[in-house]
Amino acid sequence: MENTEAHDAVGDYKAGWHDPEHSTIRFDSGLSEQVVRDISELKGEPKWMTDLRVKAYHHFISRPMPTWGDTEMLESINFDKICYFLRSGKGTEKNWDDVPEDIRNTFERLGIPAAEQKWLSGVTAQYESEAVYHSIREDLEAQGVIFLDMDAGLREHEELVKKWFCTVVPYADNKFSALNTAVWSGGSFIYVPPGVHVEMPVQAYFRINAKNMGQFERTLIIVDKGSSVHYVEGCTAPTYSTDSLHSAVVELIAMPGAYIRYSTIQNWSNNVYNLVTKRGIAHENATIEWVDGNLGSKLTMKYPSVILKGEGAHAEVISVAYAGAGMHQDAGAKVHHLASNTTSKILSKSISKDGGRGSYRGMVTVSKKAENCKVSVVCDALILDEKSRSDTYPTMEVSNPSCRCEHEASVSKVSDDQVFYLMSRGHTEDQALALIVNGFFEPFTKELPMEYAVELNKLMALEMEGSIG
Amino acid sequence: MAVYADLPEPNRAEHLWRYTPWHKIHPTGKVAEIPEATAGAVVSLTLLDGSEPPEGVSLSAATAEQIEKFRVAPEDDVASEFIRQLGSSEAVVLTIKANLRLEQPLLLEVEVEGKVCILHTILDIGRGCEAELVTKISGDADWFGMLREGKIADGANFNDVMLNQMGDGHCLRVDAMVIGRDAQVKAGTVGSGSTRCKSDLRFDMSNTGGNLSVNGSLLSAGKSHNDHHVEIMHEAPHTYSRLNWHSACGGKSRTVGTGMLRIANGAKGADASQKFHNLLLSKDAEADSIPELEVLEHEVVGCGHGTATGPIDEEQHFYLTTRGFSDDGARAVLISAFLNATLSAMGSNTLHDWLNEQLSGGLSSLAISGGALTLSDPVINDLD
Repeated sequence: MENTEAHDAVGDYKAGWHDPEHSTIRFDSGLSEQVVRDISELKGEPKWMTDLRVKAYHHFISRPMPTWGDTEMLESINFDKICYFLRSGKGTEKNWDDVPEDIRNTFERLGIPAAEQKWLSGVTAQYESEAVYHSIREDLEAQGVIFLDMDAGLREHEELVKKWFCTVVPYADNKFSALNTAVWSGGSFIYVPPGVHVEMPVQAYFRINAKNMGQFERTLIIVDKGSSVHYVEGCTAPTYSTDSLHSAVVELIAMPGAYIRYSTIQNWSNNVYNLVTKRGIAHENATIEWVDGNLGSKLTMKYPSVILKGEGAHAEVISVAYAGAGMHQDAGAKVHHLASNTTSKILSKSISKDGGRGSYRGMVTVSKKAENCKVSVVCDALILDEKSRSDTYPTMEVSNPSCRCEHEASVSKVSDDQVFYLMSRGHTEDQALALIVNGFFEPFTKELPMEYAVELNKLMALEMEGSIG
Repeated sequence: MAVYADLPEPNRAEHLWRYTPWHKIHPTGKVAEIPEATAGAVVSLTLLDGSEPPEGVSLSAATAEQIEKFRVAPEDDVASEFIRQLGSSEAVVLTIKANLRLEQPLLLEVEVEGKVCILHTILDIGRGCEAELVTKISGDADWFGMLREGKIADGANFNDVMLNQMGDGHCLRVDAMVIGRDAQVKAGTVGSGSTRCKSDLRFDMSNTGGNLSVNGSLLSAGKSHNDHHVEIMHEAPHTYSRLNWHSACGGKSRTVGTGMLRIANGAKGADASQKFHNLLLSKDAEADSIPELEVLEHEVVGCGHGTATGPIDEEQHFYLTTRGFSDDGARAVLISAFLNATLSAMGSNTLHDWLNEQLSGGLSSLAISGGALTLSDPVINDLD
């Protein structure tokens, strides 16, 4: 696709360029049992993983597409045109200079090496199907923290992976978790031993470069008793006229007293289907927080979930979505209260513009045995023009009378009075709108590392240009 | 035109059928079956004091033209097509002439008996009239299906209350109403009858200036299952709607409230909100709420929804006991106040007083005392 076409398609999407494809291994498009076996063989995986992949593949084939959500968009996915495995480098490097030049340039343009030097504990950079670069601070490694790409995790810590893999998101959980389990490649594997606090965030960056690519990373994070970690992931892709598929699975295990924060800035180009299953289990007094920003993609269906299994566990989900032209952000959150004295808080914010559609889809369940639970769900949506749309689909199922469960949602437009006030203080209309929108997203941005928050505010200001009049 | 047999069994992925799948409310549980021994409900229309309705109000068998003209329920809706087919496409039509003002509410009594009993009612509410209607369902039918379709004409001021006092049978209810230009409508549902109840209430606000208030006051006890779905479609500009649904749930009962509030593109100036409140009274009770919102228009006054579920407030309970109420008495007052909040918003004082009287009887186990609702002691035991 020429650059001018790309601009026409996505306007100012900053990460929409692509590099020439230099694949060392590229599978033919389409999915079969043989493709699944070939991926597993290529990686030299143990038999149990191959068998699991094959079982998942058959489940994926036999399971119908979801009959809810944006079924029209889902049906338009052509699984036969997707490439399910593409290796771009020779392997995972520990030194940026050893990464192939064009890939290195890509990540440098995205600011990953600079961020690593300034404020990260570790980085994984995944390009197409596999990680091309990986590092972790030596002091953390010395404390027993394991931070690897998932393929290396399986090779080097097979027992740990075998114990936890698919325990939070079973392969038969849904059609796309089955697909991911069948063809997964890359992703992160993290284990934090008891009592270790990883002070600075670890980051993974996912880049799709090739056309019609499918990226199926698998992330497994286990944080042992009393430990903590903050994991940040970002994603971008070039703009093509044909579609790509990103279908990840993320499993979090927070042991008693542990703390996991998982922050995502999803900024795929608007030719990417982003169909992701993210779920965590929180044991006694553990906390899991999902901080989830969805700014790109053609269709996102993502509902970060927490199973509050242990007494006193806490879940928090802060989710924002920006739905621009041709985009449907179907995002939300799910929390299942299985134990007593568990608490959860969900805050969802969405903005729809230029015909985009933002949907909140959430679920909260409180089981019969879960005494004294507290739940708060708040959804706010802004619709910026007459072509756009906002939906809210919450489900609350409460089976214990001691629970206090609240949900509220509102949909509105940007207040004329607020715009007028800001303009009377010297701002242009665009600036006024950008300020209001940034204020609307503030509960999300204030939870991000500073560098991300600044970048996000700039991005939203760009998106808001020309929105009024 | 769709026929029941041609329609596929509804998918449970649709929240309309999520908690009460079609086979659970079908009379035999076998969705392909259409029961033969069907009885029609016995209906009578009077004023609330038992006197004859005035001139301009009539209840008669509907003609084929009327049935067609008032066909409002969606053609692909399984429940309404099923009732239509069971009733051999027969219906009664309740007509209120244009500009008629009724001094007291109308009472439509519906007596349901037999294994399978059905009623298809058409409401033809005239332009500019002012009226209140209570439909009271009683009897011991094993299964009762009621389809109500209607048009509330422009400028009408109409309060419509459904009181379910059925015995232990199952009840399937489908309402589909079109709200006219500048019409003001209050639609109330009061219920504690039937052990399993599935209601789909649909309101079409496709005329400018329509004003709708939907209220629910429900008490579930024993092992009852109450599933109400309320769909409000704002199609025209400057339409207004409020939904307030209060459900108290005791015993091993389950209450479900699902709502769909849709603001279509072009419904500028729409002002809409829906609230589901659930009071859980026993350890085995369950309350589920799905208040859905779809907004396709950005020039709206406001659109929101909320749901809250919890037990009786301990501080309020404590306060009442310090003022001399017994433990159960304080609970009864708080439950009554909770249910009365929406009951009192359903219509005139006359209507409210009558509803209180009705509820003082056996089925709902609610009793009135000095204008405030209280619960009789046996009920408290049932709820626990």
